[in-house]
Amino acid sequence: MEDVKEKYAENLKSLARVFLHDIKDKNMPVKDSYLLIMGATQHDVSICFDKITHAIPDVFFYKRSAHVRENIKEDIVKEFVLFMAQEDITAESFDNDFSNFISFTIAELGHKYKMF
Amino acid sequence: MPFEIEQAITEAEAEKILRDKTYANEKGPFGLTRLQIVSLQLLSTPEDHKITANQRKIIEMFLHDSMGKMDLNKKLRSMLYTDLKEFQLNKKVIEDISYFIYKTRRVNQISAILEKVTETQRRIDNNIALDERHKISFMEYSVFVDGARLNKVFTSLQKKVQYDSSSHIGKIHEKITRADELNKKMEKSFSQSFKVHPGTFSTESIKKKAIMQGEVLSFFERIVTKIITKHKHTSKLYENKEKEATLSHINPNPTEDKFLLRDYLYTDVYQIKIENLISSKNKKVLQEIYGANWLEQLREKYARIEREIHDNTAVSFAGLLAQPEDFQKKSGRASLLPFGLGHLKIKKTSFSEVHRRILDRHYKNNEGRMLCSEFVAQCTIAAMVELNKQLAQDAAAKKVNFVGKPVKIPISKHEDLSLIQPDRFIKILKSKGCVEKRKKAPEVAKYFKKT
Repeated sequence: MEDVKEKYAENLKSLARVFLHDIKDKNMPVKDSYLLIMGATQHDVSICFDKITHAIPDVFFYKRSAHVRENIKEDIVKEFVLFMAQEDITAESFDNDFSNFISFTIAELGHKYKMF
Repeated sequence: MPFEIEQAITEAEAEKILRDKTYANEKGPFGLTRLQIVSLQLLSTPEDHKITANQRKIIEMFLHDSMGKMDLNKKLRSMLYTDLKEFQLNKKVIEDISYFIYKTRRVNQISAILEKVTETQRRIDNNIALDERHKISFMEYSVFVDGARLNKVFTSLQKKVQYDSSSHIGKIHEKITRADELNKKMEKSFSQSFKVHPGTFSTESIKKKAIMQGEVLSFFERIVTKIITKHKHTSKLYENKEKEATLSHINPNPTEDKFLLRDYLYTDVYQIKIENLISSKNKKVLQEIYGANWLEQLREKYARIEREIHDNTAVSFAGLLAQPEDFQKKSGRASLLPFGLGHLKIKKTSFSEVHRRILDRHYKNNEGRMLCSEFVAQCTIAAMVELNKQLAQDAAAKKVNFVGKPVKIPISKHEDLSLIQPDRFIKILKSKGCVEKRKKAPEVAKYFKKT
């Protein structure tokens, strides 16, 4: 399962990279777009995706079709960007807010895609 | 010494909590105050439990005080791992309230943002000019959407508590409802202003998306575009009976969806120019049959056929399912071969068979798998075959003849339809000079800041 999770986290990270690459201004380096949109470095974001993946229940890795599972990954990345737009990663409250984000996003997506 | 939990709250107790602040704030189990515990217990009561006026006041006070209190959220979440029944607490209620607290952590900002969006909407409704300060940033948009999403939670709390609309919490609920309505209105104002002509479809060109959108959309628009969309494929776009722009697509089951702002922001809309598929000789024949406004009548016929095909997509195409991911990759690989070789096949596709299957609702009771873009391509072929059939009938009635088929179908019979990806579909149409990309309407830009 560890291998699967590692791959999943990598998928989320590359989706975020593609996401930012697609929306950034032509001349802006990708690392600057991380800072501008999410107020965090690529490294911070990578740690966040590891934590999210760690919390995802196993059913997310095998239940439903591959198509649905891909949709879920995209939703996670989009929700994460929306969340980060409001947050200050250096604030003391960030850890708690982030932990809320993880559990409620998983619950919402689990419900939306009938995972549980 | 923490207070003991009562089995059921008496009216005298409720009165005391409301009257005596020290008593209400006395700490009990989980480090919660009496007011907090009692409120959570009341919210945990069965649906048919009638809440008294004093109990309602207690809950109103609790909800108002707990908005955005993340320390309370932390306590509640840690309680989820303990035995709550012992304290007459319901796990779902604790989860809902911690969600409520979490989502209200920016409640102070919601008011200001809401005012801004309201003013923007008022200006749009009254045709008053907008400048940059009336537009919202991405951060504001994300708070606004969070607010709009809270409406569900508030509505279920209102159902349980029946709080007064003039109470603090009632007033905030009103704002949240307004955010939800405005969010919907932003989408509605768009869908009403968007007119679909026959032969229209929407698609996302994965490779060139950034460049194409970059030409038209600002930075924040681009982020929002990515955030709020769901379609990453080709969909048929047509006007339904109610004259609403509607998506008919395979995602992964056949579905009809309203074409909303988020879809529009995300996708590129293409329109097939049917007149470019008709030879000048046949245009003259059409003029003989229908008179000077032949093109208008032709489009009307075409639109009617599209409605016939796509209305009720979910039922008419019930047996269809999107191709699995590995197949989509295979069709992507076909594009890598030179001269489009990967996409062509020796055997010809019978277009009349494609027409028969689509118009006779073959997929209603028979199973099949298609790429999303293949579905659009097959429906386009079927609509054109049907249009040719109807035109030929009208020509026969007027005793005139077309040279060959009136509308030349732009897709080759050698094209392997099962491998037709969005990019390939557009490439074919472009090579026949019969497709045009629709320009983005100003509706998109008006809400968002440019930088």
